[in-house]
Amino acid sequence: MRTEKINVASITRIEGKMNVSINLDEEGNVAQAQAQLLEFRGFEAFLCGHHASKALLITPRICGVCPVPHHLASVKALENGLGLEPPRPVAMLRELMLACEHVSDHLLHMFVLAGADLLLPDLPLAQRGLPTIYATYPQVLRQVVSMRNVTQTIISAFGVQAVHPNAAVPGGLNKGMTEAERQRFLKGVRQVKETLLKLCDELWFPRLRKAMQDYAGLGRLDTYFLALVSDDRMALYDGTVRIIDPGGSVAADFPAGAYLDHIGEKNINYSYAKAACLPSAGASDGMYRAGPMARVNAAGVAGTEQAGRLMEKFRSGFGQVAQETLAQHFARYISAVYAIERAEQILADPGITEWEPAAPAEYKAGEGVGIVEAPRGLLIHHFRWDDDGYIRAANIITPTNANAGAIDFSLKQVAVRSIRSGQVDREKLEHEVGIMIRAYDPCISCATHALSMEEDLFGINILDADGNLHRK
Amino acid sequence: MKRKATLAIQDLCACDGCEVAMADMGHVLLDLLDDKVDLVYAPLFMSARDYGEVDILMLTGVARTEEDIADLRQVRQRARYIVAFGSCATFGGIPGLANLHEQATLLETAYQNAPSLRTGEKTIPDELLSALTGEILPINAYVDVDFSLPGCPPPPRLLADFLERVLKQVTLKEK
Repeated sequence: MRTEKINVASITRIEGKMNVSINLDEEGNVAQAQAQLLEFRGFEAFLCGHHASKALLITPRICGVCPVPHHLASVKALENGLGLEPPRPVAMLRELMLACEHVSDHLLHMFVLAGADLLLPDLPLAQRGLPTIYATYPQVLRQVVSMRNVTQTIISAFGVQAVHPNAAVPGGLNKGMTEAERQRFLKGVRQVKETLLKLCDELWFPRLRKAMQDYAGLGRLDTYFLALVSDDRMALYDGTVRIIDPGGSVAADFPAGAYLDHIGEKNINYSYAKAACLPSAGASDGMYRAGPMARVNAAGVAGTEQAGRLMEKFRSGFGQVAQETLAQHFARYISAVYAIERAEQILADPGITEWEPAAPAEYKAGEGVGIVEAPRGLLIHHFRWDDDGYIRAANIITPTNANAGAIDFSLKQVAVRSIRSGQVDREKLEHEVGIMIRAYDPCISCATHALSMEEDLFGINILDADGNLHRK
Repeated sequence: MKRKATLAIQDLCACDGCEVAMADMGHVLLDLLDDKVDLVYAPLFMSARDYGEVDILMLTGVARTEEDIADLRQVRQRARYIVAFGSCATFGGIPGLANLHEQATLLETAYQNAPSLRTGEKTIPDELLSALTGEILPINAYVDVDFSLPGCPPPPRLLADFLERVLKQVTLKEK
């Protein structure tokens, strides 16, 4: 077989850099598909030697798109090891920050990153993006910007800046909320909820429905799902971790501290991301997905009104456990609505303004695990520190680590649609790979917090049976 | 009508927080797109795969691989003004903390010593991946920059003021 390098488009509108390699068998059909995450940074190593309190400032820098969950997973890990329980208003305000991050992040993805495919399906791929969305739908983008302005402002009210926040300390928050702020934010959040529901009803959801028809079955696969639940409801900040099996039954519920009993990781030789898995269920069978669809699949009920209504609609279409990869967009919409409703519920409680500075934490040798739901799914921070409070070991498992295995399987399924007997439909391949990968909303910076390497941004390589680059 | 200034945002090894800070400029960013700025390249926000020559190139993150360094060595002639955007590009930032450790330690911590790693799954990835740089340096070690804007990330309002000044510079030079 003749071997040549194939330069397929970079995969854009995702957070970070990824290459895609497709291995062909002797007949020129797809044997294996691999997503290579090309960054490495070494956070787990360089956290060591810093005082544990500094983790709160260092870990948000893993990801500029979702710094709040990193900040909060870290503080929960410290509190877990220090035996501290924050007062109720503090826990609620942290959940408020997290809910606001979910809304900001989902809005960016729904209306810009993946939004370009939904809103501009007739434009050539290379022209899809923020400037063309704005040129075509100026009022829509103005509304999106106004909504994000509300949620980002609430995060910065505690965190100094929304990216990267400095808000939480063990047992507390650096700053509370005034009654005037509470009322102003409540008004803003109600406005966001109304705008979001209207915009999605009128424009976004019909476009998603169309895309799901156009790309029916794209990247579908059966996996386990992992998400936080609280009393069978969706949860963001606190709860137990639930494993849902591919048939939709609850396989386990466990507290954060038991994560090593259930979740494992394996190295991927061609990627700087590790793939998380459920060792008890075996390598590929133990593949799990995290993220909005995991949250929807894991919870019995949403726990808020509008998200509950949407969840019923979701279940009537996809059953008790959704496995369609593109259904992740619908689940992300539910997740955004749930988050804004939670923000509203929290802000409606005048008790959240009762704030006192936390007493400085006293460190002795310890170890703790903190788990929260990041917008992209279950995020785990685990630190061990010495008698003086200096970190000796750190372990971080991000949602994109969870999805790394699933993305490879979805990729193979997508590649088969465009490659047969050595004939490659390049345009279709490129296009569908992007559509599928964006449904996962991967975060390469998060997944490769361990290290970082880059090649051409998002090229797709096709390799023949001997492992040589192939071009057709 | 005055010509819009062309702007590219290129990220190296980064967290994308600088891009999010730009998105957080909100209506100010959209106003710039209305009449002052033509955003031609920003992989987080758009699918354009390359840019030709631009008025302003904003570089975020650090050079972590040999590939990044090769990229940086090619950008000078493609941009009238180059901005080191954010603390990583300006100083090395948080990823620069990796300089405190041997490279082997960084890799072993991630791929051999993590408590969640399963036995027998501890090979350090090396297939088809570009080599790491020996240390992390500010990007002006590799390319001449015209402006540096530190901040992790630069706050949206500061960023807006900064862009306003750089855009003035671009139009002044045009007269």
